[in-house]
Amino acid sequence: MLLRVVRSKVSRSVPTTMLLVAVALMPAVVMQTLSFGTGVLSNIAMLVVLTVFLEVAAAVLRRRPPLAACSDGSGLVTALLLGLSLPPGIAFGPLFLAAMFAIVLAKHLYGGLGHNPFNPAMVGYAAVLVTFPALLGHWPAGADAIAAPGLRGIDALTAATPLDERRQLPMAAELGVVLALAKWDPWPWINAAYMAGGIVLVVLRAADVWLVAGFLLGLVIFAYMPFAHAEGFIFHALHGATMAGAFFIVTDPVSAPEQRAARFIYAAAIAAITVTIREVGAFPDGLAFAVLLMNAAGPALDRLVRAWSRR
Amino acid sequence: MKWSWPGKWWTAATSDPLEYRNFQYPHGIHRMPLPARLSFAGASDTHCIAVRQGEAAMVGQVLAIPLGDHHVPLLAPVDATVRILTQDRGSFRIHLQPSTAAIAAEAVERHDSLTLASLVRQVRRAGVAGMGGAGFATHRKLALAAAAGVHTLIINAAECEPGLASDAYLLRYDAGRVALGVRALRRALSLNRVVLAAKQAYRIAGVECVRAASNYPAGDERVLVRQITGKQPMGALRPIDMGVVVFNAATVAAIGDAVRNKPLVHRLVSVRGPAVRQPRVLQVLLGTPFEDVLAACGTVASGLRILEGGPIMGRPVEPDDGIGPATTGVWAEPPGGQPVRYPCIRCGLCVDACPMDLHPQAIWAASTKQALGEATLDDKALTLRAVDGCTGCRACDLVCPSHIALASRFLALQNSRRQQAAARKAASAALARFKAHQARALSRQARARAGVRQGNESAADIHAVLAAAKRRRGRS
Repeated sequence: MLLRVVRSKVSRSVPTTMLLVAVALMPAVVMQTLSFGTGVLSNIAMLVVLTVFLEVAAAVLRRRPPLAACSDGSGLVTALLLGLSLPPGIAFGPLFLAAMFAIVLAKHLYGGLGHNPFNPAMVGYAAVLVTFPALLGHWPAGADAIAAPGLRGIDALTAATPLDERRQLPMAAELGVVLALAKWDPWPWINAAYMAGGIVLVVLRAADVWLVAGFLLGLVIFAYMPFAHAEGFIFHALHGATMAGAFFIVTDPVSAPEQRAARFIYAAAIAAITVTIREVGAFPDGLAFAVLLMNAAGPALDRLVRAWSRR
Repeated sequence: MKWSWPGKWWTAATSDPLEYRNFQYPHGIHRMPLPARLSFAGASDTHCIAVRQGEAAMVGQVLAIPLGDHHVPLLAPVDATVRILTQDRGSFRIHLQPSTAAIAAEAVERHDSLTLASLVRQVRRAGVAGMGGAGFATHRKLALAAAAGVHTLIINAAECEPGLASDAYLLRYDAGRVALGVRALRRALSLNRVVLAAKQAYRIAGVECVRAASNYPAGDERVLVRQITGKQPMGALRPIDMGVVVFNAATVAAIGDAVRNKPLVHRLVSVRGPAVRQPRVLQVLLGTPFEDVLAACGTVASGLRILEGGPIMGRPVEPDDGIGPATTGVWAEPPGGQPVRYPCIRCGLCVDACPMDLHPQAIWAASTKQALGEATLDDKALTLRAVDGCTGCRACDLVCPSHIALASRFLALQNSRRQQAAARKAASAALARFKAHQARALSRQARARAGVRQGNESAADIHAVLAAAKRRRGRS
């Protein structure tokens, strides 16, 4: 029956689509859990509970049928994306802050599903990033690093992500500090897992291929800009939140423009801003800010494209 | 506060209508046995009843006379007794009881060289209305097409609603009638191109055959015209303005019958749906109640939802309503709950589905007054104006994951826009009249002031006009 629902172009409803997105996120959940431990799962579990609670509470306050509000499945996708983008196993406080911003402020205050101009998961993530910058600076090191001899007996170890490291290395060299390097870099594998799920979404037409294509094109162009480091496109594509962004965040239809050309420009601009922040900005990764900036520009893009096509 | 799960939030629809897309029927046209009762309905502002209760009506006898030229007469399809007449708040219903088991063979006259005027008269007398579903009076369309000077006839046998095969069966088993209709139309309208658009290839002398696409709105008049001529009739530009007239295949066959003085008394109907046990293409007398048609094919349950036409654009009907000229098919399904409607998530599936290249989600957003992108009223009005291109095919409704009834909103919008335009036109005409009246009054005053004598008719003229008026009054 699931196969029929997935295949049928006619009868895929909103909850089914959202569930499909959640299923497509599963490879990434598995890969991040293997890389960073069960903290990822505890994040997601807490966020799912929080999301359902906040959806029901917001619907009650807005005098809407509460169970209808949380049955659309968009909260589940938001919880999954937030749980995967926040560092594993963080405390309840930041998680609550993230869920609060994502569900109540970004979605229900704007009129609920379909009316939010900003991507809820990215609003929640940005809120935590701005409030607890230190928390997001360091992710747990890969499993290899923890198992390395000489480091036994240490409860936990955090290490900079490759993106972070790259930004800090010149600084560290000047200060004479040596950074501990994780032997195994899990990020390419995590990005590959996002990509695997994302391609399924594109094939099943649950994600707009124009948004994905625009994002990848923008990434290619800006990875080879004069101001960029020499690592190039492959490095950018396989590190940080790139693939999660390309297939799961940029493709959110609600916060994207609706004209095809506008969508293409929108996605390309997100990639451009992301790479620019990575290369010359103050943050190791810039996807969340790029998405929020372009969300704000979306309606204007739509108008421009419409005016242009009417000429 | 309603603390309950919305019904059917998980699965979308009870059935996927497109599963019936390539549906196969048993071979041959099944003739329905004579029903015990025939039912006709109409509105009192379009028709005037012409029979009395208990009267014996002959085949082809007029039951109701159309008022004005926009409608066709209702005819008795068999020799029958008029049983019940009900009139109620502007609508009426006539029930007939067929009196003979066999339909008497009528005398057939052939009029092969009909002029346009006599063809229009014959077609009107035979009670022919558009048999593709719309039911537009065929003689009106003929007159409009002749006035517009059409040069191309498209015979629409594309039947894109899932499971329709009435036109395919007509072409397979009774193509001679279609050929007769083509001959009459070609002569009367002096056509230079006749195209048959069907799902399969057929061979009819002098007729070009085009394979229609098999996707859903391929049989839509405007979609078909674009496929064949390469030009898109949009909004106010009708196909006949492009020199193309589109007739359904069954309508052409009925025109062929009308030429031979045979009234329209029966049609082919595809009976199918999840609740129909033996789907068939039936030849049905007009006026046969839907319940009798379904009974002839067997149904799985009672209390069904019956649609006239197909599952996508079909019109819900009562079981005792009668089959009309525009009933292409009968669809029966068990009554199911409506799927839950969610807000629009702007996924863009409707944009891909729209055969008229509209932006349904943008029009929907502009019509809900919550559109964020519509910064100015001007922009919003421009978006809303596009709704005039909607043909109401419901292709967008079918793909919408939120199950929003887009097409019905668009048709309502079209209607209100049309009314607004008419009101604006009437208001400006009234204003112009008033201004002219004022100008006349002012000039009359000015002339009076200047001492000019009113009027310049001679006494003899005035006497002649008075005498003519008196004669007219005396006559009436």
